[in-house]
Amino acid sequence: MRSTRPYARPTFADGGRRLAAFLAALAFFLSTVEYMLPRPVPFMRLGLANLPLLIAVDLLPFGSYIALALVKVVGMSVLTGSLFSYVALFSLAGTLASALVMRGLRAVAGPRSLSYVGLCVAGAVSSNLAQVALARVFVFGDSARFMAPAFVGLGLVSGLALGAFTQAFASKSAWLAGVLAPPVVADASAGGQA
Amino acid sequence: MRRPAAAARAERREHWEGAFDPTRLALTGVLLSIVLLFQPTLYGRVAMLAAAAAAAWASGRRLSPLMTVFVMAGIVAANLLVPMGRRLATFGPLVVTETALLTGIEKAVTFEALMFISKACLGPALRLPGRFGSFFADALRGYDRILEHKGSVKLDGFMRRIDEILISVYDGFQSGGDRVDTGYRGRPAAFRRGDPALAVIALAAVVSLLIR
Repeated sequence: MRSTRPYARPTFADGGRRLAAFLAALAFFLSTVEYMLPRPVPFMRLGLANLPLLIAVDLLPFGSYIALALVKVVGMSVLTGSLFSYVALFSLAGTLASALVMRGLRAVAGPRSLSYVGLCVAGAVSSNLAQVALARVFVFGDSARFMAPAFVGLGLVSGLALGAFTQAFASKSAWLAGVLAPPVVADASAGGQA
Repeated sequence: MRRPAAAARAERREHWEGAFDPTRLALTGVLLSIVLLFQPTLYGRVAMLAAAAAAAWASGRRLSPLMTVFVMAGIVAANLLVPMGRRLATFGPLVVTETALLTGIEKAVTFEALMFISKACLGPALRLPGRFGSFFADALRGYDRILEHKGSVKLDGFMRRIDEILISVYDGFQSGGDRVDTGYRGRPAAFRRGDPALAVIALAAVVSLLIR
């Protein structure tokens, strides 16, 4: 591996709480947008709502990052009315698994060693594996093993697509560039007023 | 003349939200979900599925009966892949066995009943307590602000348009200038006309656990 942590996350006075809430709002919005888009294959979702979580890997401190993952699951479950169902449980397990795997990978490989495409594929596959494991317990029983290859394959495809989309978005986004830019601090030695 | 389905659904939703306090409704949903998971008989679960589907319809949520049937059939079919118990029938390579069939039906019914309970008992008006609740309310407020621009999102230039929306909303959100009340009070809301119904439903659900 070429480098370890050749970057530093930006710092926030509130620990990134407000940015995390904003990214959660973006996740809700992208989920709504994705609902309106045509699907290439029935049941296949690109998972646009995961874009904020992917970007947050390089933005937020760990506490706010996990809070974002949790509020994304709870919020989308409340908005779609699935909070008390297995769907929310699968979503929670999948999101936490992918969030932790992506964060863990970023801890050992910085953005120059591992792109959003790699991060996203790892996150999507781990998310789908976690969901298959839960589906085995709660829904499909032993038959889950027949579905696992197709499910993981879909995760691979959607991970590649979302990773490529996020990579393009991150490189072009003026909003993200503004968030990453260090705040302008008044120079006290220049006689600035308090 | 027949009303459009969307208008009828919106009307049902308005009635439903006027009848129930969101927190009490959500708590009833938690209780019903637990009762469902501990329901000792398949008949009890099927009865809860039917009642929950009717409640979800009355709540004005968008439902898809076709998708419900498709998902349930998929769960039953998946459970049949591993034969268990007495052989009932054979269709080519697929052997239908009794235990696998009953297990599949029970799981399918539970899966969809939980979904309907959630749809009936949860809505965007729900406010959560504590720091997480405040964080959640902040996220919903941001969502409302971003949602105002939904109409301008097109497939053509999708990425650029999303970026423009983020730029236009982010600064106001960060400064908190448009911060609103989270809505959570921490004390009981006023009596709603649906409260007695919630109490009866909760009691009936608990009593159903005793019926074998």
